[in-house]
Amino acid sequence: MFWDQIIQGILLCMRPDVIAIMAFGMVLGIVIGALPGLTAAMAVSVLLPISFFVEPILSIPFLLAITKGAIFGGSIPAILVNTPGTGAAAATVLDGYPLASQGKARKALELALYSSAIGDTVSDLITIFVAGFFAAIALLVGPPEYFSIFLFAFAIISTVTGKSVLRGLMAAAIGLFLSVIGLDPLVGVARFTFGNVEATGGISFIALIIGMFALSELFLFAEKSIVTRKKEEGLSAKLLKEGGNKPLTLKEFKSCGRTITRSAIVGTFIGAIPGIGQVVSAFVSYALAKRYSRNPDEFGKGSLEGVAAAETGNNAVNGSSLIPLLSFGIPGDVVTAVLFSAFLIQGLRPGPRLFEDHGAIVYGILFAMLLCNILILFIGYFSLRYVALIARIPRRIVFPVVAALCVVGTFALNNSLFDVKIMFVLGIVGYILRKFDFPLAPLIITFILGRQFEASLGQSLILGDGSLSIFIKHPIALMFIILSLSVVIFGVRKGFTNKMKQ
Amino acid sequence: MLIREKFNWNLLAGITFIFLSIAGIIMVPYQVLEPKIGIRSIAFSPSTFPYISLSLVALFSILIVFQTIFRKLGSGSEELVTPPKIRVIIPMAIFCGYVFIIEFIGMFVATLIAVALIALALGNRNWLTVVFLSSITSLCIWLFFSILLQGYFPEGVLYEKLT
Repeated sequence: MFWDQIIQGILLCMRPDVIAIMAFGMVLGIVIGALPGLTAAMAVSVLLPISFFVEPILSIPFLLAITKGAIFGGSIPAILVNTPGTGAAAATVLDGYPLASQGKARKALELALYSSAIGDTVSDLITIFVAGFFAAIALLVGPPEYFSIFLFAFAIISTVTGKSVLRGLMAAAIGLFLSVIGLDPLVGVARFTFGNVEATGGISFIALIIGMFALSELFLFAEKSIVTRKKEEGLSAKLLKEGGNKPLTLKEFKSCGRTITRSAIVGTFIGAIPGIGQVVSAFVSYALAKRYSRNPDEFGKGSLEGVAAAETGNNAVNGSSLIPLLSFGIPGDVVTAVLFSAFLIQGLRPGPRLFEDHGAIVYGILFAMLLCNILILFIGYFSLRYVALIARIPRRIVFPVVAALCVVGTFALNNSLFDVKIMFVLGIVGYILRKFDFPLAPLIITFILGRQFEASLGQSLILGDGSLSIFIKHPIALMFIILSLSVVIFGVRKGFTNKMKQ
Repeated sequence: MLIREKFNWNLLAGITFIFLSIAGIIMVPYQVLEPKIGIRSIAFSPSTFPYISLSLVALFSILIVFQTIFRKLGSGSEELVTPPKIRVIIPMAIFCGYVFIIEFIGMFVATLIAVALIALALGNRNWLTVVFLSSITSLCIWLFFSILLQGYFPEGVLYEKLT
């Protein structure tokens, strides 16, 4: 059964149309990632509507290719213009830019490309063999356990994303509240619809994702003064002319072998924990590389090992972040939240049943991820020179196009102008929340899982005849509830102590 | 002086969310109609979850206010956030107009106009660039979503009346 699904999956992902759409997605991802300020999450959010029109084996690999392309693309401006294209490339700047300043830009870019592909491949392989196993375990758990696992995921995501634990927790609570708008999942009673029939369907997750991520980014950009923006653009143009053209040698690549291996394992482990993500993985890998390096003094001044660690670390998250999504139906970050939406649009619900009901498609998608890593080597290598020029495109040219895509993309899902209006309102809400430094990932993830969370709580209480003691009678549920409370209490206490010390 | 120093955008955010969550809690009985007949658990009704989520928002807002008030001053860490700037209103207004005008003039004409206006609002001063950008964007969206992917997009009340 397992091997049948794997073989069917391999055959599915080898289809020419799958390869073609992944190549297209990868080019789009690299281009968007290379534009400073446009993140991988924004890239998949804005381009998600394209996936509505094609079958799952095309749409999900398309979005995965965009993500992988965007994360690699983010390293290009990080190395060339000292500005990470995406948050994930923030650690790449530390050594990438000094290398470019020493005339070793091409070496750094090539190493970033190879490290990205290796990190991704290790992570994808582990995911392929582990996700099915976890899904089988997930099948054995009932509503009380599900409720507690959701609670634990929310606690982790809220406390590790963003600068303030309290803000993360509050963002999660706001997401939970937004998820109640519409019909109640158990009885079908309308809640907070204010008498509007269109609101009974609840807030469209596309409207939420596009509004909160893409539109709020436009508003944040618009807020910057024209003088500041022109200064940034002028700097990019000047620095791009610099940088050497010598390729990376095999000896140099081999010298980073240990760092790449270590970072790939670290990144894969971090990726499997919901909420931690690429930025943390890149910095942890970088710190470990520096600690175990023979030349730690070179770090920060132009170390190839530094670039390799950061790029392997941030890309190794890509594959393993799908483990909680595919096994338990829990997206760990914004990108997997968008993928969760894409699965739902295609009629596939991420979770333990996914492997049983659509095993061939799931393995097809997982193998397509491996194929993406081969594609990125070719596309990335041959497009480096041209993509570097994209970092010069001013964002004032890009954002009007993003605005149009926000509207068209939101409308395309349900052909509803109501969704577009909601997207606009959520864009303003997202802008305000970001101004107040609230992390958006907990909000989006609790919003997406809110109805399931509520349903599992309701089912648990019905099973327990209205008594909360059902959570005590189920030891796994009790363990996760205690862990969740510990995470929250420890996080809030630490936040308070730090604040007082400041 | 102390009150002035303690007042910042963090405090404003906390207080705003306290008011919003309390308003939400007050609205629950009016916005959630309980089913008359049902097999629901007594401990869990359709209004339970809205109460829980809003109470959590209120609780965390109070903690944010508490944290802001009881922090030590003079550490340079008072302002975690930068206040919103007024110049963001123009693109917001254009985008608002874009969203509401679609049903009258159609998706593609609205996109053509909105892209041009947003480009101008973001500081593009070259008219040729603005015209080129808006035309290409609308054309590509029409070709890709409407022709290639066969999606439906509103043509607008005005177009329907004219034809």
